Amino acid sequence: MTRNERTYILPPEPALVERVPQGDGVILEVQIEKASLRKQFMRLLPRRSIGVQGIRIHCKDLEDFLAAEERSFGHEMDVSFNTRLDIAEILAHSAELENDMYRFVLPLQDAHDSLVIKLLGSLGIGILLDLRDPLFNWREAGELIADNILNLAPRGLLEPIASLLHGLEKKDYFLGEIYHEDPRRYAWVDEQGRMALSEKDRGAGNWISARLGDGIREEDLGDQTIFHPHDLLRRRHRCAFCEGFFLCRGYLDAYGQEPFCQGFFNALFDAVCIRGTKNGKTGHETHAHR
Amino acid sequence: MPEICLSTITKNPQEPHLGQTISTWLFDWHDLIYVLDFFKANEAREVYLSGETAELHPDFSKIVNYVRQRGFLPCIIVSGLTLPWLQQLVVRSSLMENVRFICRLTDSSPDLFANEAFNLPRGLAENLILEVLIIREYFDPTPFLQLIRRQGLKQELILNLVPCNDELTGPGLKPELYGSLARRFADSLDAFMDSGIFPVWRRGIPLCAFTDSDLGRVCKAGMNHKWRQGQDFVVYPDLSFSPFGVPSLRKRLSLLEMNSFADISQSIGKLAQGFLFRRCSVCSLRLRKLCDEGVYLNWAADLSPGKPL
Repeated sequence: MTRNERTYILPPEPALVERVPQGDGVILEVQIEKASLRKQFMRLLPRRSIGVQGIRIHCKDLEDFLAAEERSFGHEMDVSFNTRLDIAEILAHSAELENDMYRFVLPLQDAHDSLVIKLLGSLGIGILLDLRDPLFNWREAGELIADNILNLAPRGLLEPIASLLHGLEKKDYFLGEIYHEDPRRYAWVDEQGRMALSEKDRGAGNWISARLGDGIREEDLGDQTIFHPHDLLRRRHRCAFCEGFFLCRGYLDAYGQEPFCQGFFNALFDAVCIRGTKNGKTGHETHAHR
Repeated sequence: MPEICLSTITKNPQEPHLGQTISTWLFDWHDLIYVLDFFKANEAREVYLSGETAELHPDFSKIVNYVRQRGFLPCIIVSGLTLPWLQQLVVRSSLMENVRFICRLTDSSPDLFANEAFNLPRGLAENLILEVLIIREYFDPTPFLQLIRRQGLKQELILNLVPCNDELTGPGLKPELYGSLARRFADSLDAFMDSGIFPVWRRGIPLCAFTDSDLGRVCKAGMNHKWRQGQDFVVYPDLSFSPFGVPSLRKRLSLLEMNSFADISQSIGKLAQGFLFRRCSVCSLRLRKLCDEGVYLNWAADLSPGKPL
């Protein structure tokens, strides 16, 4: 991996963006409060041609997001909310939500969340599940996998399930990629230009020695990273025997999700097998087992 | 046409006619998503929504909204008794856009809707179609045609023959009276023509009940009288379904065992073989696939609860 393929996730501060090494990419993290999104973003665009690869938007609620005067900048956007989405609110605004350029990052903690995800998916809206959430409901996730893989009608893309399925064919896929937490490719930057190799590390103040603009050396990737796949193999950790290890490489163990996540990967492989043997005609069978 | 019954009620089996409900079963959201997926995969365009409870479903407005967002035209079926509830609902919400309402009335019972003092909001009336359940052989469409004109309803009248036989105590039309009804219908063609309102049969009169002369009048009037039915079935909250909502067939067919509308047709067709009128079983019109009405009417009439297949 060469240095100029790194992507920095940082607040939309012009001073920070100026320090991003030439040729590297950025993902901007924007907190929007009532229509301020465009203003925040537009401050950056005239400064220099930055390689924006995406935008992470944090909103208070759906209304806050919809109130933004501009919701599309031609970049892929991950939108998360501080409050849980309400079914009536989703249905009332579903026509406004149709947009290929963004997806909702949603929690999956109970049956209500599962229903919201299914509803949004059935309306064609893309969703990213946060598998790292300590309260993530793995039982509901198993059901969502079956629903998503074996459903009868087209759905919006449900990540990371869609990526994992793609990864089954690619072989070099890594789950952390979808959360921008591959230490070889991403760096998380705070307002002062300090860098961490994951969102979790940044939250915990677990900084690497280099600062934004310095570049990241190989030795920075050592003990600072949140997961250690080779160590898991060496220690014959349970992850090493999981069906999903070549996709996850112990990433979810670093978030304390093992052993629950193993059932998730089992469900994923089972659903793929059923789809393969029944030629995608068994949505009703899966539904019957709810 | 696929219909979703959003709520079912169970009455006391000892006293089914007293109206006392002992349990209510509502359609679950997960099941609704599944059923609409099924309809979508089979390219249905309209979805009928009904229910056995007074307010059909507590999430009714959300469900209608969702059905609409999935790309279907929701057709809401109400009775004369639930119409005031619907009237209040449409005033409160934006339910009137891209939606059709069907109000089922019997041909005999006077109800609130037929009252001259009762006026529907304009937006509701424009999207409302009357469906008449015919339980008498001397059916007269004139009051309904007047009602459509007076209230400014959609220029269409759905006719639905409710069959009955000697064993059944409920209202309905006995097979020997289908001929009389066919004659009444042919006689009423002028009233339809004069009003410009079009009759559409949902469950119609068997072809054999018409005399050649009456049939000629119907054809000459250009009435679109179809004697062969399409996919007309009702799905219940337990995901069972039955053709035309025949109650006694409900638990015998499940949507979870079907992959397509073709499967449903096939299953209904197989069941139909066991429920033919004697004369239907040898009827050349049925064998030549010109008429299936007798089969459907016999189902609805002949299957009293608990009667073995």
